[in-house]
Amino acid sequence: MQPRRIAADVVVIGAGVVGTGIARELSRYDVRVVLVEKQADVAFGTTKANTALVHAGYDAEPGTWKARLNVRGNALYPKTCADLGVAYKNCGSLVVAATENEAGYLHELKERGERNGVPGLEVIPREQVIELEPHVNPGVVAALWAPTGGITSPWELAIAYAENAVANGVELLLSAPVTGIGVRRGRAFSVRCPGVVMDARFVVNAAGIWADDIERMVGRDDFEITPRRGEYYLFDKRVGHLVSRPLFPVPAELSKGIVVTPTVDGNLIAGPNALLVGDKGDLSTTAVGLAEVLEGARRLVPGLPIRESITNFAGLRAVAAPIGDFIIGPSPGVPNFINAAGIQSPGLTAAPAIAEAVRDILADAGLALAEKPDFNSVRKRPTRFSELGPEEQSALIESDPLWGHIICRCETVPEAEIIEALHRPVSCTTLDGVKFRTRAGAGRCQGGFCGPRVVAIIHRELGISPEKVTKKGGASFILSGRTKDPLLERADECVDEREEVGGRAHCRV
Amino acid sequence: MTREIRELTCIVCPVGCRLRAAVEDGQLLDVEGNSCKRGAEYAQAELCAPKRTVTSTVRVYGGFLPLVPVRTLEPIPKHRIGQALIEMAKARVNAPVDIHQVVVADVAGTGVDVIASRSMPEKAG
Amino acid sequence: MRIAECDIAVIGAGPAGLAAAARAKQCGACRVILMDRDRELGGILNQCIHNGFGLQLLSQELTGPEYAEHFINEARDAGVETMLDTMVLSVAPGGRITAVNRSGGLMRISAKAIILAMGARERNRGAVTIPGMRPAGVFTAGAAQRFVNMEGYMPGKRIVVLGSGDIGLIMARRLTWEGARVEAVLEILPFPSGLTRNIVQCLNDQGIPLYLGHTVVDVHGEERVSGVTVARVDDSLKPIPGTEWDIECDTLLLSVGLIPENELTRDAGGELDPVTGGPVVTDEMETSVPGVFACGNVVHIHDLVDNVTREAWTAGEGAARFVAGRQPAGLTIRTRAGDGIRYVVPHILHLDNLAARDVRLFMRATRPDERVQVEAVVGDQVVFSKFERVVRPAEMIALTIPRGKVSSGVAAFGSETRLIVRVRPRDCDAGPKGGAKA
Repeated sequence: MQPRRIAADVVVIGAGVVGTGIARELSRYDVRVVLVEKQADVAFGTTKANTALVHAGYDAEPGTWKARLNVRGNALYPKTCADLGVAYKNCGSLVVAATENEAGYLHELKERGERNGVPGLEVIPREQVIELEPHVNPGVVAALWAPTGGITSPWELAIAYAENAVANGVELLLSAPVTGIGVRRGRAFSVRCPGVVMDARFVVNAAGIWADDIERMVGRDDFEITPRRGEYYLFDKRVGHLVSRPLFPVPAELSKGIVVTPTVDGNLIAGPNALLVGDKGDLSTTAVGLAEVLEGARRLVPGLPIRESITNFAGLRAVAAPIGDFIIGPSPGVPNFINAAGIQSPGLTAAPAIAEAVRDILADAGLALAEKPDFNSVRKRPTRFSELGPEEQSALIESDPLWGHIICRCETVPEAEIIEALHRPVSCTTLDGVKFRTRAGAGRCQGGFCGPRVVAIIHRELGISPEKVTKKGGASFILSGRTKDPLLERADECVDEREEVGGRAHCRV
Repeated sequence: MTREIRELTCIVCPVGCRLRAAVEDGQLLDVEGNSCKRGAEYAQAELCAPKRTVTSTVRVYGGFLPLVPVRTLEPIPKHRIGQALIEMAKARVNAPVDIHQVVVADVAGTGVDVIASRSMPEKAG
Repeated sequence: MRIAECDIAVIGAGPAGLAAAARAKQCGACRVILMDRDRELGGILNQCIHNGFGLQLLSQELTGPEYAEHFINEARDAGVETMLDTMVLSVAPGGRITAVNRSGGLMRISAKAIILAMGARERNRGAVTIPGMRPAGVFTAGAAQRFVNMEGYMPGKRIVVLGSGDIGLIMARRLTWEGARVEAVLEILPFPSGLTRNIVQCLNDQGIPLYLGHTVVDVHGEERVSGVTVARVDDSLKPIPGTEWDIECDTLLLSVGLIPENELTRDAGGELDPVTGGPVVTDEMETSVPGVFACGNVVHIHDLVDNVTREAWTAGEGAARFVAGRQPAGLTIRTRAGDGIRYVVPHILHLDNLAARDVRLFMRATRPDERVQVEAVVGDQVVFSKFERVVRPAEMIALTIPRGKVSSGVAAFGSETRLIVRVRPRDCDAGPKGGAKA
């Protein structure tokens, strides 16, 4: 079969929060953009498993991309999230010093932050810390208060970016792994995915932990991504009140340390630890790692009850070597291939600023950017039943009774909300996709109750047969087939085997 | 002649005695470990003619649910369970189904019927 | 917003809610509304298609759906009103219920009394912290049971079950009978969590190995489960390094316990017992909130539905008495779990009730034991005692204190006095009265 051919001004590879942000930024202009993602949905990589923090920006070395884009990104958050209907809470953050020695370091951090242009930093005494966070370790000596710190929902942001980008003309290809990039005379000219060839004037590499593999496709080998795994515990909303803002320890060498923070959904999250792993698919949690997370978290909040943990997970940070900074700019020798790589923390915070930076780099490289008169910067927040008051809830049910049919009882998600999520501009076909969009399955029972019901709704709405419905695309099928079929397939051998099994069973007792 | 010792757990009551039974040619010779008479009877039944109630589902056409749960009206010989399950897998029944309606007659040649263990109304609409 | 009024609102139409609603109506309550979030009455019984229900109460060995249908008919005959596909969103401390469904929209239901019968939810992977990858193919046993028995789909082909709870054992057989291969059942404790009958008929019959003192320490597979690593555990239930081995499978079923579903109880302001995870209740099955009653798995996890029904009857009677203003008054005595007992329900007994009727206590043993006396002690006086050939944590113990055994003169004991239930080895000394030896 002839592959489909698409002509694009820019092909953006990777639909995490960085890639979707870039695509959405470019959708302001009169350029043809294609966003390709190897997974079945946007936000399925590092974006779905991180601490979900909007950092103030005092950590990074002054003068680095990290420092600059963190502070700029932080400043862009309120408007970006307001425009796109994404949860964001400017609750401030605290770096908690447990010893006098650590307290001394807070001033160093404050000074660094000020050099980075972080506003409002203040070292506050113990009493004030305890007043702000009554459940913090009573051994606290002082804390660095960063009023611009906050929390957000990374997948909401990526989904919103993607939906807004698509609404403004970007073409999004999901389940489209890049298999090759054509290079001629030092310029990338095409991007290939199974069944599709994109003629590209520019290529943006926002492929997260796979960014080095993508860069190799243009014959370059400038950096290597070694994923650094971080493990997390997620806690029940019941203990969401234990902290009101992100609490950091005084930073360790490899990372900002194990954080305890509320989420925008009212849960509590603790993590991450940091472990370099060789395998880019290694999202496993370990007993040792989780114990480390718990221990670290309890140093900040001693009363954190492990019985209220509802799940644990791991994410992979895209750590680039040999460069410790974000890698943003044209690949040496391939001027129309732009990397946005090595985006580890504070990548989520920086994402809106990375989008601007990449836009400017593209313009410098010769991409004409004429603003589109009809660009719509607004993407409405999908209606969340649980966020509404009784009158609004009643009115919704009156308009469509399916708003009154609750599918996920832990998070109070009605059927209408799930149906709506399945028919938005960015296609959602998986259980995890539904979870990230509606929170059905994200609560304390983790989909035990609503899972079968969501499978049935996906089946009915999208015509995907239940045994083809997946958790997260690919071969992550929820079910293996219909009952009766395995038995009928094996009908002949079955009878004898069963008699034998029965007999054997007797002797085993 | 084969004489063997079979071990089994009595499930007549919650005590769960560990029984040691001597069997020769399918005949129970002796039971040890039981603490009451019922244990010996259990061993006799289990070792000579074990039976089980089999529960499964049968596909329904036009039902409120796609399946109706079923059970054998009485316990059937253990060695016929496999065949009985296949016959249940092959069976189809039309809604509405009444509770205790016969769904498969004389399953696996045991003389025992398989009956619906709930009523299944037709699909609405 | 629509507003409904009734005498008694029952939340949850599983075995507990059905029996409580019917009994409340039979005892004279006027309007009894039974609400459930599912599409039909019967709760979890509808997916428990195996037999073994009703042996004690109905003297028949029924399947779950048959047991449900019996009590559905009874509730219907009694004149209980039902609201299905209805989710109760909250119960205000004053007893006002907010619920939602398709036809009625958002509703306020004021009831003179409320019976909480929401049952339990399954402990999941997060609750027991199983490390490893997060592929598709990890199910709680109950979720898998619904797929298999009600939707007609298989969760997988090669299955490992973690936990020897009854649902897991039942599912091991069920999946085998549908043509899947169950590789193993693992239990972290040194003894099984499920009933012996289920170990024998669900595992031994099918030739499925049961590994006691083992757990899953790693889950493999990126998209779908490809295997698990299991290991033996030590006395403190920690995996022993070096004992690991891998089992290839595409599915991990979890049968690692149930958690009473008490979000609404918390809403209503009911005191919870940290051991059972359910509300503190009186012998009327009333919670610490006057007029709010509870029964079934919401109070404590049962192993036999017959006991759920019995408890629900008590709750239904209690709620009807409350509505009629005929509640027992006067002094109460609290129960306490003594030696060898993990918990006792109910927590509070009315002396009037102890004088006037038999009062049934439910409890669980902390460890398996044989030939013991289970005794109820007030002060230094054994008020009732019963011989048990065997006690197991998996099998609930019922102790019915005959009426009049605890004298109304207990008032003299004072408010700190407890009725303590304990397990004592039978053969140590000459036990007191009760429980003829077999």
